[in-house]
Amino acid sequence: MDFRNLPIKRKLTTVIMLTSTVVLLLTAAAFVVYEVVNIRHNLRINSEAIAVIAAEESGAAVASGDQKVAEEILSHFSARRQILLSALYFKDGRMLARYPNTAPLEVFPATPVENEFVIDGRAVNIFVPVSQDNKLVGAMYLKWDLSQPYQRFAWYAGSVGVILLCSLAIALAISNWLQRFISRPILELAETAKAVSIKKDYRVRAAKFGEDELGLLTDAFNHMLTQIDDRDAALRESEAQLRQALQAAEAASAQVRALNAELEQRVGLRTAELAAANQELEAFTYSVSHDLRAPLRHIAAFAQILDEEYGKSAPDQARHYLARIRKGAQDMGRLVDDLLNLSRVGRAGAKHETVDLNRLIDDVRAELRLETDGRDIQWRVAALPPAQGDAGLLKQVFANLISNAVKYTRPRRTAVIEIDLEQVDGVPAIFIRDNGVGFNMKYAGKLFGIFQRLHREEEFEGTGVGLATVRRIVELDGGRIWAQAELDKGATFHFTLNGLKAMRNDS
Amino acid sequence: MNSAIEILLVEDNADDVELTLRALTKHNLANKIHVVRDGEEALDFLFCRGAFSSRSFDDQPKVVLLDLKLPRVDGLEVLRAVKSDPRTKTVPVVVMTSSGQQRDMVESYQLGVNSYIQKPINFGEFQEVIRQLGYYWLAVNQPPPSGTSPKA
Repeated sequence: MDFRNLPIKRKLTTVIMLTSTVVLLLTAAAFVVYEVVNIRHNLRINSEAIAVIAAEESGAAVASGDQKVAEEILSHFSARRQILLSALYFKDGRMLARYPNTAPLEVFPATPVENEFVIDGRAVNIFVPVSQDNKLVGAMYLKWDLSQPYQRFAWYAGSVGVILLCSLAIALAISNWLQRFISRPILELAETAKAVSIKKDYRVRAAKFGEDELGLLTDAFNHMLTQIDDRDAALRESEAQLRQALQAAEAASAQVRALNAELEQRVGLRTAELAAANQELEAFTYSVSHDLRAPLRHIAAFAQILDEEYGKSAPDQARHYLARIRKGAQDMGRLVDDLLNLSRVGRAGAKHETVDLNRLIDDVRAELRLETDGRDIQWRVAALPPAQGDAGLLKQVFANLISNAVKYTRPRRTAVIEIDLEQVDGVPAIFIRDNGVGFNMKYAGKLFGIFQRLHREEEFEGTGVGLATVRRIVELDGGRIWAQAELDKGATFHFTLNGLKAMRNDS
Repeated sequence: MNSAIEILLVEDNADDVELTLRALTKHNLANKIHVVRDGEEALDFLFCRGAFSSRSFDDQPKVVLLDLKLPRVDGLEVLRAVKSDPRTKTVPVVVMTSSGQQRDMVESYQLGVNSYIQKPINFGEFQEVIRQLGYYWLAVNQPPPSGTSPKA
């Protein structure tokens, strides 16, 4: 198993144990080495001291070659159990004496060396020189048993081993206890992190075990969790708000849809009602057109016949009354026609065509010839741009306004009628100005109302329907109409048209 | 046949009948005119049935002056019946009405009317219109040869 993947507990234990073991082993090794060196040193001092003393004692015997004395000296070694073998050699290497003298010759070294201390298995071979009167005469050999030092060393090594094991056991226990101070906070952090990542529960907190770096880490982790929790809460709150807003918007849009549907239904209903009303109105105007005109025609016709047949023989007063009857019928006929015109405006679908206003004005003037012939009228008609609109309706506008100008300038010796284009608030407006009798501006509000007249019938004839019709046509087109006047100085009628604007922008 | 009717006037209003007859009389056109007072009577006359069963399809008038607003069967229906039957479709029909309704005019022409006139309010003008009408349809216009209509 890879060390990196070990649990933190075992990792910590392993680290501590590894360190302790290495330290303890090194210490034990040092002790053992010291002991070995020490034992060996003492052994050499002891054994060589005995060998040197024995060599000094046996100097004379070796010098004289006295085997008996030599064997006597060597025999003292029997008191020392460590000495296994001993021998005295002459200078030339021959053996003088041996101990124990029953030992076979082969176990002794064949030739002596002057000075030696060599460990050979479980014994040590020692050679020391033998002198007589400061003259080297031979050598002494000792074979020293090492069982005792070996035993002592074994006991020592065993003790060290036991202590080592005890130390390791204690170290394991201590490390097991100590590692918890490090691993527990980490494990706690890990458990908390796991709980957070699995349950998505940001309210859990890691327990803190101290004020060390791990404590700081725990604090930081908990702080982070608090922040995440706060943000999570804020997020949930804003999500709830958003959902609420969305629901509100949906509810509002549903309401709008419902209202729209209701409105559409109402519009449909109103449209149907309006269509019905329109149909009724059409039937009414048909009746007016047909049923009102017929008796008028009859009144006028019979009055004329009466005049033709009996006029010459009738008194003047009777003829005057006949004329009044005919005039009344004629006026009412015109009124019916004007009313029919007014009711038709907007009912017949207005066409959208390009209308040459200059030609239209020429046509109107031609139709007014009966009125204008024999009069002195100065026409100042400017060239007007073409307009978009319904030619029939536009002609009614110009016919009414121009015939009014002609009519109300009748008292003037020289009438001046001006038609031109001006800019009013950046919008092109057509105006028709005359130098006629004008009117008092305090009656301007009544001017465009139906049946409203500012002059007596005897002064100027009229039905009071013409300007109402004009206003209706202009306003239906999206324009507006207004008048300026001064009594006895003349009047000016201005009007704007949507179609006029469009044409100006195009050109 | 000299006694054959030249003008059939279909008019329910007595005043209009009188005024029209007066205008025709003034121009010596009234002696060969027949007046019917509603649409049903007009159809009986033109299709030679009921009170007019003794009439022949060969002797159709030179012109029918037809008012539109009539009791029982209105003028447009009379026009439709006349113009959709092969026995009567060649008879010239002139609509004379007080109504200035465009709708009536359009429908009349679609049904095959030969002329459409709105009665002028002014009696002088009315007399002039009647005079021109009579002159045109009785003197100027060539009627379809009699006997061209298929037999009933």
